[in-house]
Amino acid sequence: MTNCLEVDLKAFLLGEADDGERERISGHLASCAECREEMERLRLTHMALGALRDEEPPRRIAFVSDKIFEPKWWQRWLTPGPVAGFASAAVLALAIVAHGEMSKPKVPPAPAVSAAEIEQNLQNSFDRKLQAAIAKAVADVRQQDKRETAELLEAAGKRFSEQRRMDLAAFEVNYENLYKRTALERKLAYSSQQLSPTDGVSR
Amino acid sequence: MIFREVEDRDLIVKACRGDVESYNLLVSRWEKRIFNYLLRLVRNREDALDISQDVFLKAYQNLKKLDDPSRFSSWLFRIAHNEAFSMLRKAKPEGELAAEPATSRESGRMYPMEWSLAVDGALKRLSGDQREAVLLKVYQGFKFEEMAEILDCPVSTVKSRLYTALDLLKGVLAPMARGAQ
Repeated sequence: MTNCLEVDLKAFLLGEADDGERERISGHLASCAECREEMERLRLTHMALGALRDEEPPRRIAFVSDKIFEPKWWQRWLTPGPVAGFASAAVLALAIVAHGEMSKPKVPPAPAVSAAEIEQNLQNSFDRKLQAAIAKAVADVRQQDKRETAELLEAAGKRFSEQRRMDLAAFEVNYENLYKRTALERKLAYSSQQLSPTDGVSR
Repeated sequence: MIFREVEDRDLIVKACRGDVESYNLLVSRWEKRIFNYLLRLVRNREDALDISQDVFLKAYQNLKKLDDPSRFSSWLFRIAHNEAFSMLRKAKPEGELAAEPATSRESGRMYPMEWSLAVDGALKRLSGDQREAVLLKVYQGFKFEEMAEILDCPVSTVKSRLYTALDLLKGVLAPMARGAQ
């Protein structure tokens, strides 16, 4: 016969006992009231733990899972890394320096006027495109900031509402308990008052 | 469950090859479990969310180091464990037993909210190690061997922490559960 100390009821409860062990423990439980009682307490504990439900994350994990955080084509070109902020700043600084360098007045050589004009036109065109890309990048970043702020505010609002709802529910429960207890105390006080004349006889 | 494992494995392989969408899908599948594990460990929503974010970033950066994709879940929880304890170490040290008493009620009907508070209170009374063992086993369903891997300790230590925790919880929760039946 299996000794009580030899049975691992917790492993049995948690699904860690193998088939042979399960069979042995089941056999022991059938003949030992003390272990049956202990098993019941463990089962109740496990059941109570199951009352705690999973919560939804207040907002989604923002890393690559969210499409709004996926880099645009120009972001890929400008910032191929997770530290987009620093990289953007670096690129912006580079663009300003490059723009300054390219905007320096140049003395066109007299015999090659047409070639210089073409080069200047190309530079101007490049400058315009660069400026437009930078302006778009800045606008997009601002838009993203706005969106994030709105999301944070919404999440905070939801959390506040949920907390308020929970507080109200807890208050309701406590109030009900208090009411019941007060009613019971009144009833007991009334009963003892009713009994008091006969108390003297028994004493 | 088998299909799910196969799919996760497939997603991991694709993500390792640079397919961001596959990783997106992995994140959306695991974010709730990781968040809840961390929430019960660090006991603060914002911290749990921040750490979840770091966990998935770290996992993405180190995905190629994962030798066996079938061990993704325990590997991911190992990262979560490390991140959480790194944060907790920076915060003020936690006492072995929280001073806050658990809700105890031996009889009468209990509302779902009361149950949640009672369980939460009982879990608070455990040490960090004991609570984490309960979270990994009872709420995440890991095997002892996987828990040992996540917590980086022998199976015997895992069992000892879990069994002690169950004994402590039993003293508080079993009478309440019995009273509610």
